[in-house]
Amino acid sequence: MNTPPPLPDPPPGALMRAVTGPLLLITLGVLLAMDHLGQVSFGRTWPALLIVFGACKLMERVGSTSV
Amino acid sequence: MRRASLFAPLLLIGLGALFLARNVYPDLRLLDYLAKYWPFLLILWGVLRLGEILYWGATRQPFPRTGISGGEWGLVVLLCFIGVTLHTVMGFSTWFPNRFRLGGLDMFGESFDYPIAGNKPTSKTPHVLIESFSGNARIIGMDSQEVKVTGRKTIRSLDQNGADRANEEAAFEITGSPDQVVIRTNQNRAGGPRSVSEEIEILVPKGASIEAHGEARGRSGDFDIHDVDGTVTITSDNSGVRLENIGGETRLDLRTSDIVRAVNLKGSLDLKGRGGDIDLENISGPVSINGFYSGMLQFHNLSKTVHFVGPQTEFFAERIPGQVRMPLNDFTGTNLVGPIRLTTRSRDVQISDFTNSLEISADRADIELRPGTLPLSKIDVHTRIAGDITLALPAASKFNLTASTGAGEVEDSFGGPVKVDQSGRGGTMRGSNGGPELNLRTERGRMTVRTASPDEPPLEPHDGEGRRFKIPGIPPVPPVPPLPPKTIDQ
Repeated sequence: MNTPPPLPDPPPGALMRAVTGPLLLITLGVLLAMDHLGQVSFGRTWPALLIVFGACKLMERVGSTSV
Repeated sequence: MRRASLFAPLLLIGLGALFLARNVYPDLRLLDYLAKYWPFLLILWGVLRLGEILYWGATRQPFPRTGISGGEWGLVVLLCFIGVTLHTVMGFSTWFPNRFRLGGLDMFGESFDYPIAGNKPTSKTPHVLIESFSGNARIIGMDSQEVKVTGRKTIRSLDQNGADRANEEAAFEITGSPDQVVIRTNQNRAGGPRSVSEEIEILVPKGASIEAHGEARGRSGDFDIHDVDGTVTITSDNSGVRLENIGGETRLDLRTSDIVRAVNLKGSLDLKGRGGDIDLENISGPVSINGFYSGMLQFHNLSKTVHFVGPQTEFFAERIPGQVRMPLNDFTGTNLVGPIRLTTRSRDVQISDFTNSLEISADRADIELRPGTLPLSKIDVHTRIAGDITLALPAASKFNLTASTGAGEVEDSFGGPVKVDQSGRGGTMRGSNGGPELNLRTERGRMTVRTASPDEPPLEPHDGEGRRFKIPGIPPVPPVPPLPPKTIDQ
């Protein structure tokens, strides 16, 4: 290891980990808005939350192994 | 390192501004907007947070360990709970069943009652149209020549003024000609969060035809129709329907229904939609049911063709002098007249005492058949994936049997002409004494042919635990109690 820079790069995967929460929140908001305004019921679309969460976790892994 | 997010202060500022706006402009339908658009708060929150994190990343500041902390998720859950509750009590949706809603509504106002009364002389066979109705309606045919409406309107509102306004907006009308009476409740005209529902009793001439359009707005209302000789047509988003002694054709188109019960119909019945229980008894015309029903379906004494089409099950019978019961995963029939056709994905099937031909096709189902009466007719049964098949034949049966299983045991206790050939994983039974063809085939499962004893009890539907199914008696809509005379406000 060389001398560390004054502000080191964040650990790999940290960005994805930090972003997961907000992304989930946005997805939840979009699904509920679709439920309230349109015809697509949340009862049908909720699995999208699992998909987004899974995708974020996957990106986290991929990010931390490839760097 | 944790920094406070921007969202919490922004949320507080936003809520403060909204409530301030409401205080300045009292007519602003704040709760209405909030109930409908609250999910955008979640989106806003997420976008802000995302922006913050990306900004921190771009400026090489360390990330927070998690984007949204446990406490903030708690706040999200609380926000969702409040939002969904608000959305539901405002009547936008049916997230909660009705009984919870009433409790929720109580938190957001009081209920105000207004009397409804009206009548109109008619011919002997008028067409009675009920428009955009929400609430419970009881319609009874009488020996008379007028349409008479009594009942009450219940308006939920935050205050008396709002309720009075809603009452004027949703004024009750009875108009039309002696042959064509229109009953209009105008409930959909009462705007805003106020909800209007009615309990009415309509007395009509016996020869009347009824056409009703339910306007649910998330609320369920029941139609209870008795002793009408004309046709009955009901379309509704969410209604239970009970019919008794109807003379004409009946057509029901219900997007949601907890119960459809029809007893003593002289005409045909055409039912479409989704729902829970269906209970049909003594119907003289053809019956056609199309839709998804998750409860218990019961048919007794239907004297013309019966055609049921669901997402996974299709059933046709020429007549049902006995009964058919269909809980969600089961089909049990006793005393049916064929030709009978049944296609199902996974309902277990038991049919006893049937005549004429029978054709069953299933993906995965245990099937038990007891023809009961002689002579036999053609029987064709096939399970495409798996299932045990049992056929119990009267001792004197004449048939030409071919019964095989792709993998599983074959068992014959009928004897006589039947020869068993167990080979490899599966087996075949063959035998003929000069009767109709009986073809049974399962891809995997046990195949049994046996002698039926004359005093076997009739087959009963069973659920997973072997309990007997029974629908509790459904109480009819109670008669509307008279309303005390309205006192004039001082």
